Amino acid sequence: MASIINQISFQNFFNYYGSFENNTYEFSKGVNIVVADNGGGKSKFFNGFLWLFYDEILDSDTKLRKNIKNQAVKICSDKAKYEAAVNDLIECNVALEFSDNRFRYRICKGFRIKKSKANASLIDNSDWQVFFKGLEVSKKDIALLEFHEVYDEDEQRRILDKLIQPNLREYSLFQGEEIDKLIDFNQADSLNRAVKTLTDINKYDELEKITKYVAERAEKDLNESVASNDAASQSYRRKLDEKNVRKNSLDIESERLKSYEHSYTENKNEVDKLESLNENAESRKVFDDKLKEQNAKLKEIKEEYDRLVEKLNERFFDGNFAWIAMGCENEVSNFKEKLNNYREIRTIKKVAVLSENSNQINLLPPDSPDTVTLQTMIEREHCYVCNRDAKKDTEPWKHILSLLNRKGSGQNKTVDIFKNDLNDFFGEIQLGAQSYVGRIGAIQNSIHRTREKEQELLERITKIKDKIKGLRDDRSHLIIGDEDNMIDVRQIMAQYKGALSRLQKAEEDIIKSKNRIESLTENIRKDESELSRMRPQDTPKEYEIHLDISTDIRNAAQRTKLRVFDNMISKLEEEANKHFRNLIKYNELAGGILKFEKNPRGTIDFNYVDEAGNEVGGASEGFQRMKVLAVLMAIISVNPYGYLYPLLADAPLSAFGQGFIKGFFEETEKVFPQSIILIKDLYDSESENKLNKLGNELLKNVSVSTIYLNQIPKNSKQVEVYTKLKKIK
Amino acid sequence: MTSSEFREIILKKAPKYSVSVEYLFEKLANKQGKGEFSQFGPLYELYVFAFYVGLKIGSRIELVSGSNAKKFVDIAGWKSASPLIDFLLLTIFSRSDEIGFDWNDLEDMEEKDLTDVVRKIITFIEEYAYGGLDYLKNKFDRGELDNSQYLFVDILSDLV
Repeated sequence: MASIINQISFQNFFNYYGSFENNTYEFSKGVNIVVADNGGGKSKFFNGFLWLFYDEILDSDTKLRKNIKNQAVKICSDKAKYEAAVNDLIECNVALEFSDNRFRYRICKGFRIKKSKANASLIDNSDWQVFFKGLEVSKKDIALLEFHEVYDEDEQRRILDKLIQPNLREYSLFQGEEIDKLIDFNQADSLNRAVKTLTDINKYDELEKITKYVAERAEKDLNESVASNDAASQSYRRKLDEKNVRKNSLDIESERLKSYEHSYTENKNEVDKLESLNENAESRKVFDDKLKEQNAKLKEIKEEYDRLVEKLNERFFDGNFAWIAMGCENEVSNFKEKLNNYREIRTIKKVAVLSENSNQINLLPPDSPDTVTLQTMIEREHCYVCNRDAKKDTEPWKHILSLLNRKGSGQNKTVDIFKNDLNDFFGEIQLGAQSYVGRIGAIQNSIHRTREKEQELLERITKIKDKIKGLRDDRSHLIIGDEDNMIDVRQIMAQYKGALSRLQKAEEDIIKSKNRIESLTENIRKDESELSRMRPQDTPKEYEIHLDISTDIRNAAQRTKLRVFDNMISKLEEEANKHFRNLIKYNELAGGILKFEKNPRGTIDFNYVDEAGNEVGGASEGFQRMKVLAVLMAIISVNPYGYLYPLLADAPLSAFGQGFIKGFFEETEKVFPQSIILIKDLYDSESENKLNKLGNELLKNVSVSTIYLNQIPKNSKQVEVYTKLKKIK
Repeated sequence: MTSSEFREIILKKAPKYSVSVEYLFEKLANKQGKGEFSQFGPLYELYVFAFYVGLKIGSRIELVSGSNAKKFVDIAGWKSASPLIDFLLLTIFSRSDEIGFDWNDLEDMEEKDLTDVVRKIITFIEEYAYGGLDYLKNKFDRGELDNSQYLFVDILSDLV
C-alpha cells in the first residue's frame, strides 16, 4: 500500500515561527493544496523535506543546496531569534507523520540554538551556539494509540525509505523548473533512466543475464564432456577452436560496441547540453529584456513619486494648487466687500471735490464711454450707449460732443483729488491674488486627488517590484548549471562542433560494430550447428538436453525482454498522449503528439511531432513542462504496481496560466495516491477568501482533499515575519 | 504717494520672529537636506504657513522687541513672482478693521501716518505668525507632529 503523509509540522523553521501546534498541516489521500503568495512559506515547506531526506536546504539566494549544518542559524525563525534573550534556547524542528496500511510513523529532525550575546546578528553563526539532535523516529500500530521510539539506525533508515525510496525521491519531490530536468528530452539517457527507475523493466535485463549465463554454462559443460572423449575427431576439435576464436572476437567486438555506445551517449549529452545552453541563453535574454523594461518603469515611477512627495509642500504656494488659501473664504469676501465700499466712497469723494471747482460735467459715472469711444461715436454719428443714430448737429450728437470736450476729460484729471491714490494698489491685489482666490473651493478636492495619486504610484511601485521579483525568481532557475563559466560563444561553438563530429563517428562505429557482431553471431550459430552434427555418438544426452533447454530459455528471455520493452513503448506512448491531452485540455492551443521509438541501441527515443509526423519545435515553456509531466505520469501509469509514494511539488506550474494548472490538478489525482502541491497561482489578495476563480473551483471539487492558505502579516519587518496557516478545506 | 510707492514700502519691510521658535525653521524648513519631518523649502514658506495657522486659531502673540526678536527676509523676497504676496495683502487688507485703519482714509493720510499704518500691518503679520509658530512649537515639543508627507496639509485642514 502506498505511503500517505498524514501531517507535517514545523517549529521555528524559517517563517514557521512558534510551536508545532501553530504550524501543523494535516493531509490525507488525494490532492492536498497549500496556497501562498510569494514569501508565504512554500519553499520553506519544501525545504523541510530536503532536510528530512538529505540534511540539506535550498539556499534561495544562490539556488544551491547546502548542508544543514552550516545553515542552522539562517533557517531558524528570525522572529524567534529576535525575541530571544541572551542564553535562551530556541527549538527548530521539522516533524512528519505518515502511514501505510499497518503502521503510522513519525520522523523528526531538529536542533537548538542558544543566543550567545545581546544584539546577536540574526545570521552570524559566531553569535549563536548550535546543538543538533539525531534523527528521531517512532512508530505505532495504526490500531493502537502510542508511538514507540525506533532506535535501530537501520530500521530508522528503512522507515525513511518507506516514505519515499531514495531512487524515486527526485520524481517525488520537485520544485519549479526542476521538473524540466526530471526528464530532460535533450539528454539522451534522461528518459531511459526514468523508465528504468520507475518501471520493472530492469527485471527483464536481469532475467536475460541469468539465462544467458546458464546457456553458456551448459555449452561449456557439453564441450568439456566432448573434449574428454577420445572418440572426438580432430576436425571437431578444430571446429570447436574456430568457434571459440569467433566467440572471443564476438566478446571483444561487444566490448568495443559498448565503448562506441558510451562515446555516443557522452557526445550526445554534450551536444544536447550545448544546444540547450544556447536555448537557455536565449531564454535568459528574454527575461533580461523584460527585467530591463520593468526596472526602467520602476525608476520612472519612483522618480515621479519622489517628485510628488518632495514637492508636496510647494503646492501650498503654487498658483495651480494654492493650498495656503485653504479656509480663507471669509478673507476673500471681506476683501471684495471692502473694495466695493472703498470704490463707492472714493467716487463720491471725487465727485464732491470736482463739483466744488466747476459746474460742468467733468466726471462721468463708472462704465461711461472713454474718450476714444466718444470720438468714434461722433465720427460715425451713432450712440453706442443707447444704440441709436446721432446725426451730425442733432441734439444727441451735440451732447456726445460736449462730453468729449468736457473739462478734465484729459489724462491728468485725478492727480489733485487724493493725497495718495491707492485705487491701483487694491486693483493689483485683487488681480494678482486671483489665481489663489479662484482655487479656494477646489483645494480639498485637490488634496484628495494628490493623496490618491500618491497611493496609486505606491501601488504601481509595489506591483512592479513584485513583477521584478517574479521575473528574477524565474530567471534564476535558468542559471542552474555551469553555463556561466563558458567564456564566449566561439568556444561554445568549437566545443559543439567537436562533440558533433565525435557523435557522428560513434554512430558510424556502432553501425559497423553491429554488422560485425551480426556476422560473428551468424558464423557462431553455423559453427554450433555443425558442431552438433560432428559430436560423437556417445556424448552424454543430458548435456545436450541441458544445452537445448537452456538455449531455448535464453532465447525466450531475450524475446520476452524485447516484447515487453516494445509493448511498454507503445503503452508509454498511449498513456503519455492521454495524460498530455488531459493536461492541456483547458488550453486554447492544440498540442502535438508525443512519439516514443526504440532506437538501434535498444533504448527509447522521444519526439514531439505534429499529425503529419514532422518534428515540432519551439513549443512554449508551458507545453514543455506538460510534456515532461505527461511522460512522467505515463511511466508511472505503465507500471503494474502504480506509484506507492506521495508527490510533493513546489510551484510546479508557476506562471503557466490557469488552464494548465486546472489540467494538472485533475490529472495528478489519477496517478499519485497522494499529492501535496504548494502553489501561488491560486492566490488572489483582492478576493475575500484569498483564492482566485480556479482556487474557488478547487475548493468545491470533491477530488481535492485539503486546502491550506498561508498568510504573512502585511507590511511587517523581516524580524516580525511569520507564516499563519489556515485550513480552508 | 502712488499705489506702487505704497506697495513698495510694505514689501520692503522685513517682519521679525522670536528666537524662541528659531529651531523650528531648522526642523521644518530646510533647503539643505531631508529631515525627520516633512519640510518646507525656503524659510519664509514656513513663516507664511505659520501666519495663516495663527489667523485660523486666532492666536496673536506680541513680539517683544530687542534681542529676542530677529528680522526676517524682506517681504519682497517671498516668492515675488507668484500670487502669494498679493494673496497675503488681500488677507491683510480684509482685516483692516482689526489692524486699525480704513481704506479710504489711507488716501488722505500724510506720509508719517501712512508709515504708521504700514508698521501696524507688519506687526499684524509678525504677531499672527508668532501665534502660528508657537502652536507648531508646542506640538513639536510635545511630540505631536506626525512624520507624514501630509504633516502641514493635515495641520491646516484640521483648523479649517
